[in-house]
Amino acid sequence: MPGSSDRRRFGAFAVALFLGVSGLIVGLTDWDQRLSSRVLDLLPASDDSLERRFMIGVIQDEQADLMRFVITNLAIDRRDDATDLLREMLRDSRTFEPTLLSDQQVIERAAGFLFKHRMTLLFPTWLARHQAEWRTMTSDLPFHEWLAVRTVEELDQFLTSPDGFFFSELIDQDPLLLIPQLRDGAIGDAGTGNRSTVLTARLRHSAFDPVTQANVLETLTALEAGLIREFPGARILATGPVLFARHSRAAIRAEVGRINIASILLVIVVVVVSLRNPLGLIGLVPVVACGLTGGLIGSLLYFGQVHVMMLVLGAFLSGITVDYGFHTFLSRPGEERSRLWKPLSAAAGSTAVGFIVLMFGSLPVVRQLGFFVGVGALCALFAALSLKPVVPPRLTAVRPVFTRPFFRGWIRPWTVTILLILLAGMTTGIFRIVWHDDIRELDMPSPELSAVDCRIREIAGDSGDRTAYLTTGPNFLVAIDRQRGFQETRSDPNAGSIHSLATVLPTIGELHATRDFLGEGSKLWLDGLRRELDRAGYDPFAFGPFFETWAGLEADACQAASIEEQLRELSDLLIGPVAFLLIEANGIHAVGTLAPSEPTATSPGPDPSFHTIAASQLENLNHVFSRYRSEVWRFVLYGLLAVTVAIGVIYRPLPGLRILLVPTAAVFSAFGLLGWTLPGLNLFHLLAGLLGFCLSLDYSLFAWESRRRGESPPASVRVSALTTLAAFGVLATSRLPAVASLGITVALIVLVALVLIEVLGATRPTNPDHGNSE
Amino acid sequence: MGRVCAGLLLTPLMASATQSLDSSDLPGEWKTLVENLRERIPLRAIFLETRKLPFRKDPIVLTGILRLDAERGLSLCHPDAEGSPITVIDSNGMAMRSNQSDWQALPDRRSIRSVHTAIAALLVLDLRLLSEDFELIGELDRDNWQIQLSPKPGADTGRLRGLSIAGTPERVNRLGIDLGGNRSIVIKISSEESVPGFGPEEYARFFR
Repeated sequence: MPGSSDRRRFGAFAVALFLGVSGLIVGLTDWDQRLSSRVLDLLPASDDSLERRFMIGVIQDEQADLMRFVITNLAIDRRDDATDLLREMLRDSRTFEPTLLSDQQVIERAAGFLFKHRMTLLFPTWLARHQAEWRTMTSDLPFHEWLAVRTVEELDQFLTSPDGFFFSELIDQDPLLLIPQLRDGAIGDAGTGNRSTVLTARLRHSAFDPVTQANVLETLTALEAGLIREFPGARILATGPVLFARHSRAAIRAEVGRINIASILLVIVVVVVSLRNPLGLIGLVPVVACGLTGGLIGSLLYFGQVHVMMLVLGAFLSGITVDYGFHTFLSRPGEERSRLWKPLSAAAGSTAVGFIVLMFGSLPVVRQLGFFVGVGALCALFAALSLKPVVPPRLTAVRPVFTRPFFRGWIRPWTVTILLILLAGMTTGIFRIVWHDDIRELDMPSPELSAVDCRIREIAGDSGDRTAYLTTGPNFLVAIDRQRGFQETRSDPNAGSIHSLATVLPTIGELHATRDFLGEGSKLWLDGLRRELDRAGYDPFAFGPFFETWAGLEADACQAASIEEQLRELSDLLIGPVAFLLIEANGIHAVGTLAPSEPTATSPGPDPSFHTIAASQLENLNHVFSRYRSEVWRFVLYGLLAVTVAIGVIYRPLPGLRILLVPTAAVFSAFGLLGWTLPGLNLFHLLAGLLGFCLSLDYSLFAWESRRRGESPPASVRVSALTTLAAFGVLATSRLPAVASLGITVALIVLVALVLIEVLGATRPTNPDHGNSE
Repeated sequence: MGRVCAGLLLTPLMASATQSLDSSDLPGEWKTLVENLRERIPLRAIFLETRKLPFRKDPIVLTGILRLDAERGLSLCHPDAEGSPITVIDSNGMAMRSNQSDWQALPDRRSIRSVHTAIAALLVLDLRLLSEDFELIGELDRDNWQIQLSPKPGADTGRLRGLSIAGTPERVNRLGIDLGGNRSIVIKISSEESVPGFGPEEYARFFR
C-alpha cells in the first residue's frame, strides 16, 4: 500500500504543479498582444489573393477609420442648419479629425477636378463615343463636320431638358457637356439621394483600437445631446467600421461567456444526475483545466499569438477532456491496464494525431485549433491518468440507470431494420451537400447596426437592388480597359443602368485616338462648331472660355503617364463610400461599377479575364475560403487516415475496421442529414466532422473493449456522450454561425454514435450486467 | 376726428400700393388672398416656360402640364419633349424621369436645393418659410397682385438673385426666377383647374 499512496501523492502533486505553472503563465500573459481579433489574421500572411491584398490596402488607406453621419427626424428646411451644427461639434470633438466632408462635397471636389482636367480625362472617351456613332451613320459628311453638327444637336437637346438649366452656368466652358454627362452614370446616381446631409468624418486613431471604440460611443452620446438642445426631436444616425468592430468584439466576448457558462452548467447537471455522489465532479475539474490550459499555453508558445476565434471554436475541448475523466474514474479498479489505458490512450492519441495533422495546413485559425486540441487532449490524458489513484471509486459511482444499455428490451429485428433504413436515408443527403463559406460566419451579426447603415445608404441614394463590382489592374488605365470589357457583358438595357467612372474615363486606345485627332481634324472641327453654334441660335463669342481652353491643349497632354498621374490624384480625392469608384490599395488599382444585380444568386459571376469581382466577395471571402476549405478537406482526410492506421496497428486490421464502423456511420449519416436540412455547409462543419469522428471513435473503442468480453458498453460511454451532447447542444444555439455549425454537427454525430453503440450493445451482450463499475 | 376719418379713407389706396410684407402679420386683404389661392390646391394647369441664357440669342421655350399638391409637391410634365420627361420638386429635392423610368435625383448641391425649396414654397404661397431668407414686397389692386422676393443680406439662397410671383385674385399666373448672369426662367400658367385630388394612377405617374 505504500506504493499506492506514493502514486497518489505523485499524481496529485504533478497535476497541481502543472495547473499552478499554467495558471501563472496565463495570469502573466499580455492578452492584448497575444490575442488577435483582426479578421485579416484569419488568413495566412502569405496569402496573395486579390481579396486579402485589397482588404489590407483598404485598412492601410484608413478607409476603415471613416464614419458617416446623417440627421433624421427633422423638417427638410432645418436639416442644413442642423448639419452645420453637427459639423461644428464633430470638429470640436477630440475623436475625429477636423476635416469633414459631406458625400456631396466629396463628389463636388471630384467633379471639380474632372472639370479642371476635362479635356484630358473626359474628352478622349467623348471623342471615341462619337467616332463610333459616326461609323454607324450613313452620313456623307466628313467626321469633323458631322461632329460639329452633332455637338450642337446634343447641346440643344440638353438645354431643353428639365434639368439643363441648372448646368447652364458651365455651358460656355463646356459645350461638349463633358461634366453634365457625369450625372448619367459616372458619379451620378439613381434614387432620391440627399447627399448634402450625409457627413463623413475620419477617426484620429485606428477603428480597431478598443479605446477609440469607447471614445466613439461617448462622442456620439454627446453629439446627440448637443443637437437635441438646438433641434428638439432630431436624431443622429451613425455608421462605420468602428461601430461594427466594437459590436463584434463585445458580442463575441459575451457570447463566449454565455455558451461556456451554459455548457458548464449543463455538464454539471448531467454529472449530478448520473453520479450517485455529486462530489465526483471535483475529480473532473482538474482534468478539463489541464486540457484547456495545456492547449492554450502550448499554442501561445508555438504560435506566439493566437486568434480569438481559436478560443471560441476551441471551447469544445472541454467536451473531449471531460470524457477522459469519466472513462478514467468510472473504470474498475485493478483492470486499468486492459480496460482503460489501451482504449483511452488510443482515443486521446488518435484525437491528438487527427488534430495535429491540421497544423500542416495554411489557414492560421485551423492550424491553431489543431494544435490547441491536440496538445490539450494529451494534457487531459496525463491529468486523468495521474489523478486516477487520487479519486476514490465511491465518489464516481454511477446511478443504476446508466449502467445498463438504454435500449435493453426494446431491440427487435424490425426496430433495427427501421433504424438502418433511417440511417441509410439520412446518408443519401450527402449528395445534396452544397459548400459555401462566408467569413461573416465568424462574426456576430448586428441587425440594429446593419439597419442604420442601410438607412444612411438609402438617404445617400444607394439602392439595394444593385451589385457593386471592382475591376482591377496593374494601373488605372488597364483597369478601365478591363472594366469596359466587363461592362459590355452586362449592358442589358432592360436590366437597368450601369454606373461607373470607367464609362467616361479614357482607355489607352482612346488616348491614342485623341492624340491623332488633335494632330489632324481638330481645327476643322472647331471652325465647324463655331459655324453650327451661330446657325443654331447661339452666340459663338459667348463660348470664348471653351475655345481658349482648347487652344491650350497639346497632344502631349494625353500621354498615358500623365493621365495615370491625374487618375491617382482623382482617386485620392474620393473618400468614404465613393472611394469605391476609383481606388488604389496595396498596389492594386481598381475601378468600381454598380450594375443591376444578377437575376439569381447562383449566377456564375464575371468572366475571369475581366479581373472583376463582386464587392461582396470582399465581405464574405467565399472564394478565398473555398480554396482553403479544399486544403482543410485534404488535411482532415490525412487526419482520418492517420487515426485509421493507428487503430489498425493497435487493434489489428479487422477489429480496427469494426471499431471504425460506428464513427464512420455516424459521420456519414449526420452529414447526410445536414445535407437534407441546411442550404449550405462550410469549413466549420468540416472541422466538426473530424471532431465528431474522434469523439465517437472514443466511445466505440470503449464499447469494443466491453463487447469482446461479452459485456454491454461501459457507463462512462453513456455519461460522456450525454455531457458531450449537452455541451455541443449549447454550442448549437450560439448566435455565432460558425460555432452553431460546429455544435449542431458534433451533437448529431455523437447522438447517432450513441444510438448505434447502444443498439449494438443491446443486441449481443453475453454478460450484460458487467458493463460498469458497480 | 378729422385725422381718423382721413386715415380710414386712405387705407384702400395704401393697400393697392407697393408694400413690404411681414409674413407673421399680413394685412387682411393679403391674408384673404393667400387663403383663397391655397384653397385651390391641388390643381392642374398648362405652363409655358421661357428660359433665358446668356449664350443663346433667343430664349428657349418649353410647354407642359403642371400639377401642384400641398403634400407631394410640384410636378412638371413636358409631353412634347423626347421621352415625355417629368420633373418633380418635393421635400426630397428635385428629380426627373423619362419614359416611366426610375426617378433620377438631380444634383443635390445646396445652392440648387435652395432654388428648389424656394420654388416649392412659392407655389403653395408659404410666405412664412420664404420670409426667412427673402424680403417680400407686395403689390395688390382689385384685379392683380404680385410679390417680389429678394434675398436678405447674408441669407444663403445659393444662385437665386430674385423671385417673383403674380396673379389674379383667383389664380397664380406667372412665376419668375432670376439666377443672375442673364439667366432666368419665367413660367406662365394658364387653364388652371382646381381638382379635389389626383387619382392614385396620376399620383404614381407624376409624383414620387
